[in-house]
Amino acid sequence: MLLTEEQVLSLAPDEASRKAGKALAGAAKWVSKGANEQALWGECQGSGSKPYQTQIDLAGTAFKCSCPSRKFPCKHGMGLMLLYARESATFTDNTPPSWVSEWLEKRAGKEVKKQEKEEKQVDEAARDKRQLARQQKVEDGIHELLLWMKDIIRNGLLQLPEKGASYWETMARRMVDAQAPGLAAMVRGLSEINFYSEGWQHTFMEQLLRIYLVIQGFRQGETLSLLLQQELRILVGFTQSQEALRQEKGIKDTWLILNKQVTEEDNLTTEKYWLYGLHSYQPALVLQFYARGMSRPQLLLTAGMSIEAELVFFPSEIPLRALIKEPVTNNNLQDTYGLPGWEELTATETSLAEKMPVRSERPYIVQQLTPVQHNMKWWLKDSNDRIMPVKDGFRNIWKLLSLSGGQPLDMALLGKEQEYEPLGVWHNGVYKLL
Amino acid sequence: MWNNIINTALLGTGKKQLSAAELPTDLATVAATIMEDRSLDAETQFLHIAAVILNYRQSGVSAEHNSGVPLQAAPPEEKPYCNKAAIYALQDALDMDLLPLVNYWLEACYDKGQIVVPEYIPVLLETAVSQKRIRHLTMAVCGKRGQWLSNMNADWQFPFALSNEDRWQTGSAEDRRLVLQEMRQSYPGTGREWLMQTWTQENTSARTEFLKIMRTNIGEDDLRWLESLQEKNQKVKDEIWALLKQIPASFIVQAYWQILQQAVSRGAKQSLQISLQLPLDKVIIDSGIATLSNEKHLSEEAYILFQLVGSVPPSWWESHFRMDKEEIIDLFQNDDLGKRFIPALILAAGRFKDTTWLRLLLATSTTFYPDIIPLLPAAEQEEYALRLFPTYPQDVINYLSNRTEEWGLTLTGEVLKWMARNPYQYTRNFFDKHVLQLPPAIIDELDKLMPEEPAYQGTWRNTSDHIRKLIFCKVQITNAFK
Repeated sequence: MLLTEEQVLSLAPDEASRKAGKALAGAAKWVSKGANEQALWGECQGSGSKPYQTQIDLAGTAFKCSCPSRKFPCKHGMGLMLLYARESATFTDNTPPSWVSEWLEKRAGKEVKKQEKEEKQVDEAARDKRQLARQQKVEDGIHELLLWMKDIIRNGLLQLPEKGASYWETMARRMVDAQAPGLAAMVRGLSEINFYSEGWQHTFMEQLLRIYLVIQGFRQGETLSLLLQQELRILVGFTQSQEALRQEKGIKDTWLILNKQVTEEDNLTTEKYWLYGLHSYQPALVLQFYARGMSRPQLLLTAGMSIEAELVFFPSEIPLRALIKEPVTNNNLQDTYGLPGWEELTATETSLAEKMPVRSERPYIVQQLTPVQHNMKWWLKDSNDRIMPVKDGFRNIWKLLSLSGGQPLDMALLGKEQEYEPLGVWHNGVYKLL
Repeated sequence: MWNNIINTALLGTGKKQLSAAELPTDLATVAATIMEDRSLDAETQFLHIAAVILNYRQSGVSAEHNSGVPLQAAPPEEKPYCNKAAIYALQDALDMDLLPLVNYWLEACYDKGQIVVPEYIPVLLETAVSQKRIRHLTMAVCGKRGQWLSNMNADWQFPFALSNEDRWQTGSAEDRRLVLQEMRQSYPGTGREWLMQTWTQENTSARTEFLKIMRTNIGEDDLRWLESLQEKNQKVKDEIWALLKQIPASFIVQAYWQILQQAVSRGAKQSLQISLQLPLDKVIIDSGIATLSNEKHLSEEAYILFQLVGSVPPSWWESHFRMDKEEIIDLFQNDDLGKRFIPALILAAGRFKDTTWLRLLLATSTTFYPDIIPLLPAAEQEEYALRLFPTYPQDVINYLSNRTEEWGLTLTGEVLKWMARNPYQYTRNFFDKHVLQLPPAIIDELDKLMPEEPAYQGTWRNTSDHIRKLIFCKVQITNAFK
C-alpha cells in the first residue's frame, strides 16, 4: 500500500508534528530503512547515542517508535512514512530485522487474544435492579426537563438572550444527576447557540424540538420498534457496550474514508471519520476519542484511502455511527457509484426523516456536481440543473472551484436538509480531499 | 409555516396561540387531533405541532431548479503540469512560509514552461495578494485556470495584463518605480523619455525617487535633459547633481577636471606635484563638493582635491600624465599626499565603471568597497571578499547579502565558520532570507564548521540542521524542474 504525501500528512496529530515529520523525510536522516508488504521500518539518528527504531504496520497503519515522544504518530513515524511516499524505490531491504518481526508477531498475538477474551459472568438480578433504578431516575429527570422546556415556550424565546450561563448549566447538570448524559449534552447544545447571530431563534427551536422528540420517543417505550427504542436510549444517554456490539455481525465492505474532522475540547480530541461503503452504499461515522498525551487513538485511518473491514453499526433505524472490527487493510480509494443528482438525494433524506426525525448530517456521494454562483452564494448544480447551497463558511470553495474549472465532478458531501459541505472530489480519477 | 412556529415561540404561548389556519392543509388532521386533545396543556400542544412541522419541513426539501446559473468553464491549458516531485517541493516551501523558495519555485516552473496543478492555484494566488513581486510570475504559472479563477475573486484580480507603459501611466507609486527600474535596465532611453513626459506632473518625492532609479545605466544620452532641469527643491537638485557627476561629458565633471589639471601635475624625477591653491567657483560648491574636511589629518584643500579626484574618470590621468595605469598608480603611491588619493581613484573607477583601473587599484587595497566590487566578475569579487573577510567580516556578509547569485563554496565556508562563532548575530532568519545564495555543496561542510567553544556547539547544530532543511528544499525544486 502506498500512501500519498497528503494522506500521510493527514495522520499528523498537530501542525508541529507535520513540520517535524517533513524535516525527517530525507534519506540522509535514516541510518537504515526497509519495507515489505506488511511493514515499514527504519532507524533514525536522533540526539541520543542509539538511533530510534521506528516501525509501521502497513496493513493496520499502526506505529511504534523507541523515541520518548508522547505524540502519536511521532515525528519519526511521520518522517518514515513521508520518505516512503516520496522515494519508495530506495527501501530496498525487504527482510524485517528482529525488532520489527517480533513486534508484528506480538500484534498478531494480541488480536487472537482479544477475540478469545470471554465475557465476564454477570449477576443478572443485580444488573436488572440497577437498570430499573436508573430508568426511574431518568424519567424523573425528563419530567423536570419537560417542565423547564414548557416554561420557555410559555414565556417566549425573546427573553432567552438575557439568560446567564447558569440558566442552562443548572438544567444540564440536573440531567447528569438524572443519569441522562445524552440529554445533558443536548441542553448544553442550547447554551452554545450564539444568541446575537441572525436566525438564532430557528437554530434554537430546532434543537429544542430535537430534545422534545427524543423525550417523547423515549416515553413511548415498547410501542416503538426495538431499533428505534435502542437508538432513543442511546440519545438519552444509556451507554451501548462496544464489546457487545463488536460481537454483532456487521457489514463487510470496502469502505471509502471520505474525510476526517478533528475537534479538541478540554484536552480531549475527537476524530470523526466519514465512511461510505463501496458495495453497500452505506454511509458510516466512526468516532474516536483520546486525551492528548494520555492515550493513543485505537485506529489510524487515512482520509482519502479505503479500508477492507467489517463495520458494526450502533442500533438505529437509519444506521450511521459504527465501530470498525479489526483488523483492517488499507487500500487506495476507488471509484464508486454516487447518487445521480439532488432529487435522489432529497428523496433519500425524506425517507430517512420518515424513519427517524432526530438525526444528524451524513455523507453522500453525488455524481457530476458543478459549483456555481447565484444570489451572492455558492451552490452545487447537478446535471438536471437543480441547485443546492454550499454550507455557509465552507473554507475550501476556491480549491473546489479550481479543481472543477467549471466542469462537473463526482463529489462526496456531508450535510442534511438544505446545506451540504463538500468533503472531496474525484478529479481525473483520483480522489482529492477538500 | 415554520415562521409561524418561530413567531409564536418568540412571544410565548402565554401571549400568542397557534391557529389551525396558520398550518399547511396536509397537517390539518394531525393538528386538529392535537388541538382537540383537552388532556394536553397549551405548551404541550404547541411542542407537539412544532415537532410535526419540523419533520414535515425536513421531509419536504427539494433542490431549486435553476438553469440560469451557468458558469463559463475554464479554457483548456496550453502548457503541461509540473510533476509530483515539484508539488512536494512547493508544499515544503509553503509550509516553511519562505517566500524566496516559493519565488524560486515559481521561476523554475515558469522557465520550464510548466504550470501548477489546480489544487495549488488558490494558495499561490492568496500568497500573491500580499506579495506584489510574485504576482506576474504567479499568474503565469497558474495558467488559464488561474486566470479563470482570479476573475471570480476581487482580491486576485492583479493588473498583470497591463503593459509597462500602462503601468507607468496608471500604476501605483511602487509599481511605477518598478517599471522605471525595469526600463532603465533594458531600455534606458525609453525609460528617460517616459519620465520626461510625466515630469511636470510628478511631486517632489516622486521626482527624487525616480532620479535615484535613473542611476541605472546613466549615460551621455541623459545629459541634455538633466542639464536642462531647473529645480528648486534641494533634494531633487542633489539627485540631479549625483547623476551629472556620473557622466564624464557633463559640464560639472569637465569643470572638476579643469581644476585638477591645474592642481595635479608631474614634477621632476617622476614625482607628483600637487598645488592646493584651488580656484573654486560657486557651482563647484553647489554640486556637492564639501569644503570642510571630515578627516583630522587632511586639510580642507586636500579634502576638496580628494573629492575632485574621486569625481573624474581615472583614465583621464593617462593622457594627462602620458603614462600607463600602473605608472600613474605608482606616481600617486610614492607621494605623501598623493597616496591619500588612492581611495579617491578607486571611487572614481567605480563611479565611471572602469574595471581595468578598478582591478589594478584593488589588487593592493586593504579597504573593502562593497558598492564598487560588483563591477568585477564574480570570481574576482569572491577572491577579493575572501582576502578581506578576516578584517571586515560583517561588511563582507552585508555585501554577500545584497548579491543575488549563489555564493562560492570557499567564501561561504569561511562566512559560516565565522557565523558559527557569533551565533547571536546571524540567526535562522538570516538563512531563511538568503537560502537561494547558499551553495548546495555546503551541506557536506556544515559539520566541519562546528565552533570549538562548547557553548556555541548546540546552537550551531540546530542552525546547520535548519540550513540543511532549506537547501534540501532548494535542491528538491531544482531537481524537480531539471
